[in-house]
Amino acid sequence: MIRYVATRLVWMLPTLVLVTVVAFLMLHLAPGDPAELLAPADATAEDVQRLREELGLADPLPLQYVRYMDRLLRGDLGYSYASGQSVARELLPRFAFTLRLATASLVLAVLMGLPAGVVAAVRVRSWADHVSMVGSVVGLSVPAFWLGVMLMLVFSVRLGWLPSAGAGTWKHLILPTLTLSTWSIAIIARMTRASMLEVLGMDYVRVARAKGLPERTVIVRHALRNALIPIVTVAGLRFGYMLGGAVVTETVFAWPGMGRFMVQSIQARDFPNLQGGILLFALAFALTNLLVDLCYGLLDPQVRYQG
Amino acid sequence: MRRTWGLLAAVLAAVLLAGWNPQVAGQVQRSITNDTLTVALGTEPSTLDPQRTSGDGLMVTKHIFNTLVFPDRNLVIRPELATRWAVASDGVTWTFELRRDVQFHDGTPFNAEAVVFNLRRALGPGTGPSLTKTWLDMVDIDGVKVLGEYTVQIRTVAPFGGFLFNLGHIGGGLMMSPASVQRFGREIGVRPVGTGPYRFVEWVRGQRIVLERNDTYWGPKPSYARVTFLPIPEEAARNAMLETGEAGVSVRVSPLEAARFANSQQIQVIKALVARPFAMWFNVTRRPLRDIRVRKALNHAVDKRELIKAFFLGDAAILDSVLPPGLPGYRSVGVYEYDPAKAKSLLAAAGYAQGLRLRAYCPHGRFTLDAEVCQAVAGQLAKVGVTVEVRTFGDYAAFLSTLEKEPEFDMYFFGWASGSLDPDGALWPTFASENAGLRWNFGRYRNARVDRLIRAARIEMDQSKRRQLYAELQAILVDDAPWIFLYTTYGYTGARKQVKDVWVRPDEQILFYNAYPAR
Repeated sequence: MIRYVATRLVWMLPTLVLVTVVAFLMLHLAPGDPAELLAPADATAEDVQRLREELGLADPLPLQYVRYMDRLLRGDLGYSYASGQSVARELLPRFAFTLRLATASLVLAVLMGLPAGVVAAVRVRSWADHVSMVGSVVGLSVPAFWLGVMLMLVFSVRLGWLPSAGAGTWKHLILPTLTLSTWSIAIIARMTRASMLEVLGMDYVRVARAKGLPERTVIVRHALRNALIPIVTVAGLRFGYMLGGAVVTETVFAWPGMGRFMVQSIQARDFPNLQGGILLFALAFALTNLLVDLCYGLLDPQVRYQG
Repeated sequence: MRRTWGLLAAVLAAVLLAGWNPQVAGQVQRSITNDTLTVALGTEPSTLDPQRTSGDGLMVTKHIFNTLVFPDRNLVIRPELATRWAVASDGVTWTFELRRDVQFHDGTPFNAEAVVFNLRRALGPGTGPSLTKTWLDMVDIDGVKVLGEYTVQIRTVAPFGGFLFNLGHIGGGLMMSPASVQRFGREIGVRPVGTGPYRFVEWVRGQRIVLERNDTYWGPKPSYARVTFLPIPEEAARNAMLETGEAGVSVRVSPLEAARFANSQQIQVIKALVARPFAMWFNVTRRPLRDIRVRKALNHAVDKRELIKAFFLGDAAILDSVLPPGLPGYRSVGVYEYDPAKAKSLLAAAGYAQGLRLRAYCPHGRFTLDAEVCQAVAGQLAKVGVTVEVRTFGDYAAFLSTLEKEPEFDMYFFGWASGSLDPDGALWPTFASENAGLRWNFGRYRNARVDRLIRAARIEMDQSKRRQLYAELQAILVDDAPWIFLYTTYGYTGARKQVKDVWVRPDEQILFYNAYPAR
């Protein structure tokens, strides 16, 4: 298994290099000039041109890319155009916040979605099934922007229980987590229900019941464990996606994560920030996929990893 | 297997708990006190280096730093770090006498050396993008000299009547501690050291910037011991924080929310005219728009009152000059009355009785309701037979570069503000023929009379004579109709009622060092 993990890690390298090329090209070929935006409002055309040269943006693209890669290989992500700070220093604290919000949302989504889906499947067509499935449709369709503002109005403005926005204490984490996890709770509940229904109809479940095992054991040990594979896949994808930063939720709650930071950097055409951020997403996503693949092995002994 | 799950749970818990600082717990909540003023800002500054920051960053840096001179609430230039100044008869050599009792927050003295250091830093090569570079681009760096410990000479490349406004710009020539700049290098942007009423305490990225009162400040000491700036991008969240009392001030409240707060017991709305005229700017090189009759016709075809009613709840002013009201030198010239019949006859006289097709470029999301107003203007023009194809740009950068590089447009929606609050900053970049096709004269406007007057006003040192020149310029420009003149808007700032004397400037910058809590 170590060999498998090592191989996977090595294979990530070409992917990441490809990501740097694509990110570089897309950023530089997109309309909009960083110098134009960075220059203060009253700047003249000459000011902008001087700025362009100072930033190295006047050079041919291949030269700029080689310069970027040369620095990157020495572990230097460059310096943000707007702030002049090192990109690593800009990214890491924000990534830590995104990681925290994504993890909390995933945990909540699993804790809520999984039981809801299991109950719905076990008591199919009961009121519990209807409630959880209607709830999940609502959860899938409510826009995060609206939900976030509503939660804020209720829990902060009306009741005064929780801070409206910002970060810093565990209380600040609650509303963004609720907002961000709603969609995930719903999708996990639906996946669990569908997957459980499929498994519950299988022979080995009937055998387990016939053996006289308690229903609880049949459902948790035998059925759920086998039903988990598609659920882990969905949860993993969702987690990887959330690591990219939840722009809407972060913006509503002023959560200092990656999503908002990347949007700001796009608006400012802050290429060093964007290249660094995209690379970090790609890495985080690849690692999440690897973790998901390893989880398959935990769940299903038939899965074997070959390096 | 059980062990693996346990490990996974432990890792998740570690991620969630990592970095919690028990000290900050509860600090943010309920911060209306007589001690601390908490301000919900729209955006986080990119840096607190006053010579590089922009937008909301300038609000923060003006609390930490001083300029040599600064305009007061009536936009009259007043002394700040300079006590007296004079310009020689050559019109380019300025001498400034400095205050002698000023120390930087790091304890080093402020003197003529520090002024020269700062101007060299801001204007010299290799400092990277610099706001001061733009505001002070008329400064001749070789003519910046120490004449005495507290006397400094600054020479400009040409006589410039608006120089003091540029020097007093909220982002121009702010004085940083030379010792700290040398010590911190690149880091100075995250640990700023100035002479201002507040000193910098901390900046937690994405979360807060904390300043505390400078108890050895040379000027009137601020009432609030601390000012905390929170970057809250979403207006709904800023206003929620204002309502709960987590914030004492919320910037950029929308007209609808401002109306909602009108009856509030706890919240006041501070209304201030924004010195930014909004207009549809013509590309005067396009065939139909070369004809002044067409430009005037389009002005008569737009019902400004209706736009203001529909989009700003009636709370905006019809634009009656190329300068916004409130700016020094502004003079009300007149309004093109809404008169579709007149518009049609002017169009017919110009040979467009059968109508006209035009293309308009509009930013979306850069200014309040920009794209929406654009569509409404297009709708009104349709009524006089002018079909407008509107192209919107969600991305401001793309909008600007398209205006510069693809001039196949007939008009564009824009609001231009003079950063320095001097009329030159409003008229030189936008109407001088040197800038035709460049920023910000994307409409390629050229007019020899206008050029002459702009230049004459530029070099005139006598402010009352300058005003006369600008009055003449405004009359010519309004008559020449380079825009469809639309409106100027109000800016609304929300504040708890116990916060008094918040200073909202016409450039939308808000200053708190005069603010005090109601007893």
